[in-house]
Amino acid sequence: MTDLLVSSCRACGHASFPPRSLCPRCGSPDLRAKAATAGTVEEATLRAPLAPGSPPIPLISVRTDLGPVVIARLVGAEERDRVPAVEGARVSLSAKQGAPVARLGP
Amino acid sequence: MGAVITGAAEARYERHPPPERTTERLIVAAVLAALEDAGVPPGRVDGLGVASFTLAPDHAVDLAVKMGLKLSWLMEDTNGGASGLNMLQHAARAIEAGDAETIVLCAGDRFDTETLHRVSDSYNVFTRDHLAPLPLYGPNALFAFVTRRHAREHGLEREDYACIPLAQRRWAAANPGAVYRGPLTLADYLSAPVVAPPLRRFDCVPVVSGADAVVLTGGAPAGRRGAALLGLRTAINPDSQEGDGIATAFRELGPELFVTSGLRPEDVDCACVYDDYPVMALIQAADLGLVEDGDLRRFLHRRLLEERWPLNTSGGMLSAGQAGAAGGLHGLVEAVRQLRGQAGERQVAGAEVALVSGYGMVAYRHGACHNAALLSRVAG
Repeated sequence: MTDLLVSSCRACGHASFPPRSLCPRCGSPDLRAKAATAGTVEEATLRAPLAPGSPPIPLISVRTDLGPVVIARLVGAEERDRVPAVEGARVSLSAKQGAPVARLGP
Repeated sequence: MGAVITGAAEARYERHPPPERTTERLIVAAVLAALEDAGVPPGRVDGLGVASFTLAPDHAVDLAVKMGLKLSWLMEDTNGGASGLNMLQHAARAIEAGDAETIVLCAGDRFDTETLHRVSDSYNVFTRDHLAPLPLYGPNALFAFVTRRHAREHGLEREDYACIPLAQRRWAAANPGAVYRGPLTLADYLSAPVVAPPLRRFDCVPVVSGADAVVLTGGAPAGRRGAALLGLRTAINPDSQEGDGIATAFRELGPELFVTSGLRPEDVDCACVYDDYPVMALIQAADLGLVEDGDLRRFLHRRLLEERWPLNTSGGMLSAGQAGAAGGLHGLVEAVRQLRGQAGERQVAGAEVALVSGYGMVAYRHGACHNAALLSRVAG
């Protein structure tokens, strides 16, 4: 697991994910990587597996505290029973091979 | 605008094409059928536009070489569900400017499971690096999120969204080119296998192989009916993927399109909107002005299901199938057939004005490309 990095604009403070070349709000190229560590679940779903018999994939749309909405995989106990009941829940964020990973709780 | 579409055709959509029906052959078959429909010999074509996810390593120029087309105008479009109207926008200007006189626009793809996964996982860098590793398995989960947001905002239920695939399947029964023509009931819809809640099988466009093509000239030749382009508007990247995906650019684009075309939404006799998911078809219909009183539930149940207002009369991609980039031309081909009186048993009586829209390229969370066009029947 690594930090979930968003691009944050030094000129106007706007943050984006996935990282951009220019700030979509002010156009500045002066962007730095910043770790998004927490957010709130906006929507949740359970993607059916491609191979029959495999477990479905819990996926969520998360509004990070830095601003950007990220699509994350929800990991941790019993998440399968809690989708989409997790909508509105707080999650902590990290990344695995570039993809956002979320766990319920702070 | 002076551009008139005088021919339109589709190479048969199918789920499991035999090996010899390659992407190139599908596209060539659609091009030849569209030229025949227009009464234009291949030698007269001087402009070519191509959209495909699976033509690589060939490009538009290679198709020209293989078909022996000598051209003064060439384009290749990579905008998926918005590629058809995007090419039309450029082609109409090329005809007005005199860069070409007879343009063929075509799109098609042949998909098997492996190709489909490769294309969806490497759609762009955002997808390859941040979505495919989740894994995401294509855009269905993203539109599950969009559908939930939309349902929450408008207080709609699954029974409401069902009206789109159900109404379209009834149209598909009268379209021999649709891959799925059998009856579809509300019970079938509600109990279909779950894909990504709230989406089930009939909410997700079925992937097929096939191709579409249209022929565009500077006017309809004597004795031939055509579809004249009255107006076309495009919005690319209106929100940098930071909006909610349900307040789309169609909301601004729709009124602009009608003003520039000198028409009102009530003048539209039939419409083909991009139906990759029922929620997106509904959003386009509403934002383009087809829901007169803004009452979505009434539009869905009364207008579409009971009164059979002609939306996506081919069955849409939800019933006809989505043949990759050909989906961007599918609605235009159907609209041209309606305006030229060639829609057979599903012909809308007296169809004079058609609305077509395109939507596509899910850059990260929702589509980045939006376009819409108005066309009217002309007699040559």
